[in-house]
Amino acid sequence: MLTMSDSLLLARVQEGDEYSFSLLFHRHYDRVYGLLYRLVGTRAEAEDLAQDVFLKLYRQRFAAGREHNVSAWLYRVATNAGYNALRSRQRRWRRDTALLPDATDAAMTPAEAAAQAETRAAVRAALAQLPRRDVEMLLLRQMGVSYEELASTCDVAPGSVGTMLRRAGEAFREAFREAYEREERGR
Amino acid sequence: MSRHDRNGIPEELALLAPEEDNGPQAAAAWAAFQARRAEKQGSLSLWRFTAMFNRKIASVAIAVLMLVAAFSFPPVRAAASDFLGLFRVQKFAPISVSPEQMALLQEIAAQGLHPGELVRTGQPGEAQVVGSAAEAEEAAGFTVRTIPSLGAPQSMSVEPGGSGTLVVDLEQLRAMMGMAGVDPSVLPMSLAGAEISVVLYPAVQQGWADGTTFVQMPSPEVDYPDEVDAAAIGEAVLQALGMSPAEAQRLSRAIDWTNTLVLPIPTNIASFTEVTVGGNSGLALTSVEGHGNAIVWQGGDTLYMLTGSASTEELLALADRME
Repeated sequence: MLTMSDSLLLARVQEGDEYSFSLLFHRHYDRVYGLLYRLVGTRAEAEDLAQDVFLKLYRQRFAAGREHNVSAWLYRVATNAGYNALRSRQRRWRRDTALLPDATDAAMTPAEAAAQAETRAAVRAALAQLPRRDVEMLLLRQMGVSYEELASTCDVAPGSVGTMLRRAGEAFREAFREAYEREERGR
Repeated sequence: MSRHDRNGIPEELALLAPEEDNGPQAAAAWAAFQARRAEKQGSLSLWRFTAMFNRKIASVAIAVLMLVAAFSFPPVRAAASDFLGLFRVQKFAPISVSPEQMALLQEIAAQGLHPGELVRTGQPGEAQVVGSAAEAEEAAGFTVRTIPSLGAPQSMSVEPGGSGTLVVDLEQLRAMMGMAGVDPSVLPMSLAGAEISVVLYPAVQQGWADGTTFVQMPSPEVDYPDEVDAAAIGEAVLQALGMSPAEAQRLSRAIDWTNTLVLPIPTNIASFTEVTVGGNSGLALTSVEGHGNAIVWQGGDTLYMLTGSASTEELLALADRME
């Protein structure tokens, strides 16, 4: 079996090969979209941001003759875009909570759907309080990204990933508790 | 309040995952991306359009070569576009391909399947920049033609050729075709272990400041065993490009596979019409997004391609003034 590496595809893209870029796009789109959706919570905005991320990839001039970690680059750019959008939204949050329209399970009662929406809002509010790298690590790990890939993406030693994740999880729990209590008080 | 999932992550984070209705739609996103990029690219668009058709010629040659592994070229693309018993190109058969079918072929290509074992006998290399037609002729080994009415070209380069033999792995090839919606039984048993040898000659590219590009290359040569039924392979390829089985069968029987080059044209990229250049058959392609035009034709044993922002009529007039 032979699959072209991301670096080889990138090299072809630099030469103007449209097809290689489409392969990169299809190879990485689902995860980039998934990461962005988790941060912003709407299909339209996640798709829009994902388009921007790939447009940046298309325009990025990578050094020739070197290996490039495309997925790490994409996750970083996507996290930045989604994190900025999330924090910007949090500033508007209080005046317009309808900005968090995740889909709800049709089988839920209205009360259950409302409770779930509140929990999601609190999760995102908590994420907005965390450092960018903690958000990136937590979400990517939740998406099933390996420790090794996390280390590469976040530019940390592989042996540190477990510790960093644990600390990020603790920081999230604290921020989530506060956000949830705010939600409760706000009802 | 917060528990952990099996990855050791607070389980509330799982709530953020897109539900099925909001899952990723890569094919639609790709189409949207292309539109957005075209919108933002401005003058870069013409260059990309030109590059695509340059690549089209290159991909035709490369795919015909079946040097899939050596060139790291997506195998399905090779199989889908040119798994044909070409001998010498004398005419073209343009086939419209829907964006959806292209996306499917791309997804299959990304699986990394491989249509057989490749034995490369001639090494391709880096393109060589040359300063004159005489230098290009020396490097390419054939008489180089140009278009004097455009003035001296701003750039000129020679893309080296190569050669190789593919030993077909029928099981893999059938698997690839099956994923593309082709009835695998269309591919005959005679293909198993068949050796397909290809010679690709150097290509010369000339470019002008206004974006006009002129590419020429001797027709690639393909040799395959007598027992290989080229029409059956062609029928499978046409199905892989989205034709119905009946339509593919009808067309494959009408095509002379010893001298016809199938050119898949994505409908979201370009439209095409058949043209005549200097009494020879050719194709005119027009970017559907207005990024320019291209004409592809053969003359003698040589394939030519001319692209640019000029109209098809102007390109045809330029081609007629080729010397």
